[in-house]
Amino acid sequence: MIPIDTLTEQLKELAKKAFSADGIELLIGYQKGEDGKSKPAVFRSSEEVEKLVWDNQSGFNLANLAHRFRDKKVGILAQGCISRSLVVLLNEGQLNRNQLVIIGFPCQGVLGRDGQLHSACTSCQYPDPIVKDYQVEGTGISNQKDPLLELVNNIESQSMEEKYAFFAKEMSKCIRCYACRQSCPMCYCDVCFVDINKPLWLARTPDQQNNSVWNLTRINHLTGRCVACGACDRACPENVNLMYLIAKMNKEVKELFGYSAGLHLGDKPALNTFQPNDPDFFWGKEGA
Amino acid sequence: MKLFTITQQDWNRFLQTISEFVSVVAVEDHAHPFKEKLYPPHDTLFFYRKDTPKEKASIQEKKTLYYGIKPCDAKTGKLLALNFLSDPHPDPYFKAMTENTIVISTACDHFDPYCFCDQIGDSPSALNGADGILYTITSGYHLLVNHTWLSQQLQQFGLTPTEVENEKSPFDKGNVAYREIEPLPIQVLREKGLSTILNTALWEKVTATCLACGVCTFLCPACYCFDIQDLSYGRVGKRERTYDSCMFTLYTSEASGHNPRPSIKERWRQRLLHKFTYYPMQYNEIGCTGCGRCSRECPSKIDIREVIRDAAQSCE
Repeated sequence: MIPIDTLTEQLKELAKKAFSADGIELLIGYQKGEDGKSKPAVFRSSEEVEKLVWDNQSGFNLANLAHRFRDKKVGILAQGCISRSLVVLLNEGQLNRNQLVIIGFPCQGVLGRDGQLHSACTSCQYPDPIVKDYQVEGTGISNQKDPLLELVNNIESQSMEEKYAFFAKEMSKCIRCYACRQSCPMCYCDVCFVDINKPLWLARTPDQQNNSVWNLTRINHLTGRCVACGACDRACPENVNLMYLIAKMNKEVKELFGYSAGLHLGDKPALNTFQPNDPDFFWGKEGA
Repeated sequence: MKLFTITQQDWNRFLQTISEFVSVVAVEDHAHPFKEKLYPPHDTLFFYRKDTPKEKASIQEKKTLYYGIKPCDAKTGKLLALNFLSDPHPDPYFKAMTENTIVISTACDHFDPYCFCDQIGDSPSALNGADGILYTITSGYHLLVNHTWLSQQLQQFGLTPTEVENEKSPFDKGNVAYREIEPLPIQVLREKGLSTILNTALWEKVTATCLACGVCTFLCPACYCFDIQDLSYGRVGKRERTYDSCMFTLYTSEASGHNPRPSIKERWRQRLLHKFTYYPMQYNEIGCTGCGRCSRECPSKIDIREVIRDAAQSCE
């Protein structure tokens, strides 16, 4: 893998090129914060790009900000998961490819809140960018195993009581700060169902019952769209295990539809399309 | 104020002795603010049933003694009381909670990269409105007490106190964290914070990466905003009070659909100026304890100290 400093230097060079050759208005990347860790940042000129860094603390999904600045021509750093997020947003008509200059690089993984390589990264199968305009050459993280899938398989083999006990324990930790929603590039609804109080779709009370409805609804809305970048899990201040729910739902989508989100530009999202030979009678020939 | 010296062993025995009269709780979780004990994330105000008078939810009666709290967190009681206990409508739930709570903090022996109590005029050994504070020494603790019942109990236990005039005791430098660091320009915001209100460029810059989640406000020891919802189940129901956050869209959404704080920049401006300009204007105290949780847990790692400096710099 490329040394971090070399990677940062190459990203800086490409970012400057994006300013001079492609005429981007701003670049979405990372810079060092007061605590010495990298944090998301918006650079407005090639001089500001001197502060750009990438390291294993860069766990924020920048596609989120690409959506915020979608009326501008922007440059963005993207490894596998961020580029997959961009692909989903492009496929959903949320971004314009002509307005994006994607600086791709192979990903070495980022750390979770416990200081260990994050579970999304130890299970990552796509460290390289799917779409890009520039590319830093090299190899990224390579995983032979998928620990998250193993966790899901393990939980699936448990009894209903055991499954529920695990789920309930995770849900009772949630404080409903919505950091998961806000850090997710796919959660771009203008008005989220929890931000409506007439009618009151969901009580604000952060107890296990209401928290379960919140998290399950969010996960359902992400089915077939989530790229398992893990930004929500890293953003959660209460360490709720969101990855296992994501991994379960991605497994279902892959088994049922042979689909993983964000791998091909022009794909229709799994749940936004149907085929006449769908084995489900409601959609397929028996229902027609 | 009375000062006691107590060995670790005696301290443990003392806690056991008084647990006859009060519940004794050691606070070990510092990731969550202590405010959750005085002002819980959700609270039932009353229950109702159609055709019968409403029933008040039970208000906590038994006294609880919490110890091990950090001095920055102990300040939560003082700051929340300014809001909840001010006339003309003191909050009976919060009042009962604070009256039945004894708070003993422990002077802090280290700073982490996000701590800044010493940059806003507090210190890691300040009493900050607590009923007592423990200073760790080799053989146990110095215990400074500002609570009549507690010091009576300590004397009955067999300890002899010395009188201390104020908390600026010689223990400031004992096992207490200390560092040379530049203070934050909070005085500038206090005097001239209002001049930043129309400075769109400033707020756009500092909020470029803010996600508008509620982590900073939910974990802030000084944030107290709440929402009230009636949850009805057929003929019965309850009125719930839950934390709310000025970072949320719904917080200022009006019935007409209009939102006077439509974007993140207006909300951040409100959060910062409320703490460092409006709160001092109203109560002569800043709404911040320097605990650093807002920066420590921020998904975008926005550091409030940087924002304070940026905002102060742009004051006219």
